[in-house]
Amino acid sequence: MTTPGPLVLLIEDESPMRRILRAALTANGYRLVETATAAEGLTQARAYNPDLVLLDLGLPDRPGLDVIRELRTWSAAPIVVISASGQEQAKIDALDGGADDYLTKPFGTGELLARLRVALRHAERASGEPEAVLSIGPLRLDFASRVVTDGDREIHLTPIEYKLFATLARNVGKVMTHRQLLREVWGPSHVGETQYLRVYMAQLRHKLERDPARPRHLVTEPGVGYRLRTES
Amino acid sequence: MSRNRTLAEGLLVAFALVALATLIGRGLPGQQRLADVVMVYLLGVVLVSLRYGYLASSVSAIASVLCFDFFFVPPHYTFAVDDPGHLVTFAVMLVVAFVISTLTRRAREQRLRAESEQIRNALLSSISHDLRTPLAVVTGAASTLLDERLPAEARREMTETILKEAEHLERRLENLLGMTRVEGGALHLRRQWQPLEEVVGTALARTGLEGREVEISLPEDLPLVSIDAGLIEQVLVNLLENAAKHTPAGTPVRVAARAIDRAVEVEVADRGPGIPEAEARRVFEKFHRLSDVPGVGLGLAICSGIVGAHGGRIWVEPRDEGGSSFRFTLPLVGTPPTMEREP
Repeated sequence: MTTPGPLVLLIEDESPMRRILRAALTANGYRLVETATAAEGLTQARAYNPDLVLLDLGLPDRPGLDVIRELRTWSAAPIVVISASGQEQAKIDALDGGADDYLTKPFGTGELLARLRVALRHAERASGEPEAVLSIGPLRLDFASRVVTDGDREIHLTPIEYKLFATLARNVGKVMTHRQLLREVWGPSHVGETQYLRVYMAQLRHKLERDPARPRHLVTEPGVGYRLRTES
Repeated sequence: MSRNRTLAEGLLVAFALVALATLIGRGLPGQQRLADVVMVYLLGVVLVSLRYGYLASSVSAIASVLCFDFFFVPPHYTFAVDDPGHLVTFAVMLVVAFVISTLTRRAREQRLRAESEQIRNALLSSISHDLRTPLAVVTGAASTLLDERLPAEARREMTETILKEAEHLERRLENLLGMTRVEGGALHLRRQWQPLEEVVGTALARTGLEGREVEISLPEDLPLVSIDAGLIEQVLVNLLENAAKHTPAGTPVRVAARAIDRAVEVEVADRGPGIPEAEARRVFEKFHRLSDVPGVGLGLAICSGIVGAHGGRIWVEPRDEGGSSFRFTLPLVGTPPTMEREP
């Protein structure tokens, strides 16, 4: 008998969607608890203490943000939210409110599994020792010496560029909202100034990407923020 | 445009035209002839009723009579009247104003009704055709999948077909919704200063250009633009998808931008068959389709609406080396934020 897969709590009110997610998740070794309402979801979360919560933002009984806030009072389990297009603001609020990642309907199974993998890996890493070095293809970031290299070549980054890259690197694979990045890099009084972020992101791409207009790693999540992607 | 805004605008125009008529009346040479002045006021009423509804034209008619009395009928600058004969002039003026405005308004409403009828019909036929075709494919493929004797390879093919057609459906619905947003005046821009490069990047990531060579030419010193990134991305996606749809597979596509006077000009160019000059304007109209390539015919109309909302314009011109070059401008409104240079 192999080790049991991660336990996912699925909170989703549409039953066809639940059926599809159940098929995709169980086929890929996840164990599953399903509920259709926010209230029941919160009860089940306490009963099962899942490894990950997959939460639809359009639940009939309570706003998704409520559920996230309540979960976050006692649980550090990663939360991945599912949103419909047109719920852009709800999605951003969910991420700023403590969700780890998001999926926008319609999404494919490949994307779903990738998001869950990243969220679980990230949760695991957060509880252990921080990594000293991050490698993405030929790029290498050494957190201790604060040096970024591309092959043998050292890349000179300004202090802000380094801070921005290091923040994305510590959260590799995970979406970071504009607000989260601005707070980390520029400080809490600058969270509204997205133009800074966009300009520095462009500079970073020109230094780290082969084709800055078509980034492979420093990818934009339109309207939401950025993500450092390792695979492509 | 919302009803309230139209009414407010109509009232504003009505008052402006009455004031203008008064000024013109006062400026008429020599002894002011009251009949001439009446004509000038009536012209204002006609203009208002050509564009605005009942309330605006009525207000314009009444305001005209009042101003006429106040400024032109002796004794001047009071609403009192010396000669009772002038009361008849007022009555006739009011009746004529109401009749003219009713007639003009009716003619205008009839035209609008005919237009919206035409749009509704076109919309219905394109919905039934362009949404049902992929739906039929999905239904067919899904029911074929139910057959358990289907070999694995055919199974995979059916599944891929369902996925692809569903994606088409999604995109078409998005365009239909996009058009209602552009048309319904619900398009409030969330402008932010940003480099154009990022929007080009997200647009390219969203577009299936299937192995085409994409030449990107964005000068490093291109100024920041103040745009709604989501909407401009939609413009680029629509232009790129058109290029992919209407030009031979494998031909290159070019995305470029340059700074011009107080604006940035963006170009999406292809090496396809080009667009006949007679069609160059019409392609931006709703439901206008160039050939029998499937689609609702809304992509370019949406582009035009979005670019217009940004204060720019969009057009297409032929390329010297063959193909079409779609271009649009993004005017630089306001002052870009200053960024402190880092050491």
